[in-house]
Amino acid sequence: MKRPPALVIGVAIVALWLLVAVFAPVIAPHDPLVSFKPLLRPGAAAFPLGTDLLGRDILSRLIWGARPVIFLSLAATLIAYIIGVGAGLLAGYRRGVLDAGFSFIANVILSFPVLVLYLVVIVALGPSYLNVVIAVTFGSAPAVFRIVRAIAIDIAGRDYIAAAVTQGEPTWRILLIEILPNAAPALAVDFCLRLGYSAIIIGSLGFLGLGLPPPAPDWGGMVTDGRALAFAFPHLVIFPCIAISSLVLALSLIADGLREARQ
Amino acid sequence: MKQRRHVGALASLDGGPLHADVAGLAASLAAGRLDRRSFLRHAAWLGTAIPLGACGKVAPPSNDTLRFVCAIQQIGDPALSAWVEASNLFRNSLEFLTEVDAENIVRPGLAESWRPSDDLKTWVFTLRPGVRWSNGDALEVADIAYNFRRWLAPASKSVNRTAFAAIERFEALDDRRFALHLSRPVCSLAEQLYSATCPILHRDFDRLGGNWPANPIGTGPFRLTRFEVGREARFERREDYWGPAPRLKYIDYIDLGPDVSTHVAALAAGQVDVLYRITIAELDLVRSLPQARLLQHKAAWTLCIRMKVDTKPFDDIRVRRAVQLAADNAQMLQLAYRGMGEVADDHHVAPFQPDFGALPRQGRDVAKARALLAEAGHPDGIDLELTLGNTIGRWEQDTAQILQQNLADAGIRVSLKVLPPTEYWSVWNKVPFGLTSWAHRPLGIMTLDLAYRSGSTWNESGFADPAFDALLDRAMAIVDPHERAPVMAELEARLRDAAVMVQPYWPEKFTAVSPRVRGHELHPSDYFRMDKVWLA
Repeated sequence: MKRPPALVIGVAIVALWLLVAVFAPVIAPHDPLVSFKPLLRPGAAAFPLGTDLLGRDILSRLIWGARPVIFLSLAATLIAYIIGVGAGLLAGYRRGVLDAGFSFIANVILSFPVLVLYLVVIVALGPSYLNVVIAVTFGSAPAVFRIVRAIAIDIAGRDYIAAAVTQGEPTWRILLIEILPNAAPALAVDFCLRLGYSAIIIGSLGFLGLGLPPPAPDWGGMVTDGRALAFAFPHLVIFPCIAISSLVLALSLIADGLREARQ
Repeated sequence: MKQRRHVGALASLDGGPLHADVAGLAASLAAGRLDRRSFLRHAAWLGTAIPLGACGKVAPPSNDTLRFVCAIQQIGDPALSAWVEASNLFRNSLEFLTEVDAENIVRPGLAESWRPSDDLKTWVFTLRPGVRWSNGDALEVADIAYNFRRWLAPASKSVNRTAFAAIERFEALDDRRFALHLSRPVCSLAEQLYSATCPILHRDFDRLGGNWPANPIGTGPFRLTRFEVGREARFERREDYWGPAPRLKYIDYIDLGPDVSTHVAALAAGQVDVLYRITIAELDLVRSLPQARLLQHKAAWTLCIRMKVDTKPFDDIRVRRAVQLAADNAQMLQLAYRGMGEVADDHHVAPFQPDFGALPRQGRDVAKARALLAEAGHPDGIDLELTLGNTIGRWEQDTAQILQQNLADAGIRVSLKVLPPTEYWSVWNKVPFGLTSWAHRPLGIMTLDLAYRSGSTWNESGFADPAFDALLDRAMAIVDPHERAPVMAELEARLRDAAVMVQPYWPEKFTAVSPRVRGHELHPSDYFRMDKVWLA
């Protein structure tokens, strides 16, 4: 079977970023926290992407910055999925008071503008790796819950589920063996898209000064740091913007590719 | 002969004889120990009339509205105000006994003259005749007595209680004259009366609720007509003002949030006329904009990365010394402020302040810092948390990041806790290790008195040293800055040796205005008076 080109390109880019993140200590030419000469323009052999306002190597900061954005997005999305899938399956299958309760909580959380929600969580807990994950999870889990709940309601009414109930299969088995695998293709597409959203959110939090505490190399924070000088030193913002865009675009391509392959 | 020529050209504000110390200042000027500006500044303290410089073309009153970008903060009681921005608002409506111009020369304000006694312990002030409050009342000595009483009351929370702690007694002499009796000589009293927290309030201020924006009675050239925290404030020209009429009809203060690049964008789009301040990050942008005129000034404002001496681990001077010795002040200036300023030496007195006492510089010594840390029981280094709030720009955070790199060389691992600006001001004097921005003060002695005297309201490091306090008293009694410098050098050395802070550099100050704005000068303390400003 021929693989959709979007899927191939997306996987290639994400794999590249993953390799960059994993091997950052080996491939980064400099320590991302150490200052050299400030505001060097791109092109120098020692600093191919130039240096920032504080003289730190932009290439090294991009390489090291891939770690938090990839690993935090992955962690936040996975946790959101564990919570959202668990609650969604239960609510969609059991319905009743449990469904009403979970749906009410999800609706309350989703009624907030998403960025405001993240800001409230980060301001309340303070910026740190863990709190960024908590904020993104808090915002994503209700959306995952809604999707899974809808799928579970649909599947729960089918004949093979009724047959499984008649055979006396326990609830956990029905949820995990009968319902979840049937929801997996749709969830895989959403997972990739949501991973991309999480990357954007982590970048946005960094841009708003609520991401990782300084001096952590954070792509969003790099854009904020360079923004005021961008008209004179555009390299300060262009490279981190390209990094964020490429990662999010690649994840979207994977989602598109998966959808295409499914069809 | 030269000395007689300098003194002969001068007169006192009240028409009486010149103060005895003016002759000594003139001798220092003639001998070349004092420059002309320092001579004028110090002579002005002693009640000498200093002629105004030549004024250029001045516009007549107009119906123009000037739009000023600035944070609109809660005001309440102006004597408690900790924000210079807030003082710039009430400075349009409230006036001070004296005024300090952009050249740091003290001029008459609501007081038309002052005369210190020869021992500088009794100061007699005479109020201007004909000054009226915006509610029609005449300004009286009772108003002034009321203000001093509330500043100096034992329960007062105003920083004025520390700044004027030497005042023992207020004495009303007649309808327009009053005397301040001091326990010790203070030569800069007239200058201190123009501090942001010293506007003269109406004698009924507390009776009317103690909330100035709610009852904005003032003697100044404008009246407050609208005030909304975080949004806007409007001042309108008082047609019944007792002094020369201001040129502008309205001043609109607009709060555009903390992002200075938004302010610059508004200026470039012609939506506003004056920015309160720009930071080093916007400098290149402003220089490239035809719609913006850059104003630049050297000022004694700075960042103090201070340690609380009564809190662990900073109660051990070896830890504090290690932090100080590992810091590279020159690198912080170079990288975080692009070299635009002067390197400082951890004692909070600027080399360009007139009372600076020269000291040999303290160099960086990472090996010694490591040794001190080991001696203090931290052979494997130490973990510290530095709290900051970027209260005057992200260059605070940039400076902290360079310090973080510097201290890492000595095994001091610093994590940065960046708070929103307003949140920082609620903990600025509580956190063990904090980065605080300090506004300009014309004299080093004023800063030391406010920030490092034992028990003073703004003493954020908790530094307490009776010998330092005694030296402060001595320095404050010496008029001639040349004679005061050796005492200042002792004070600076004592403070630096106590290692209460890393004070890395003296940044230059910048702002931007529309090319239409005339008569607006960048005051070193950011104390702006808008009544002589107009739009071309």
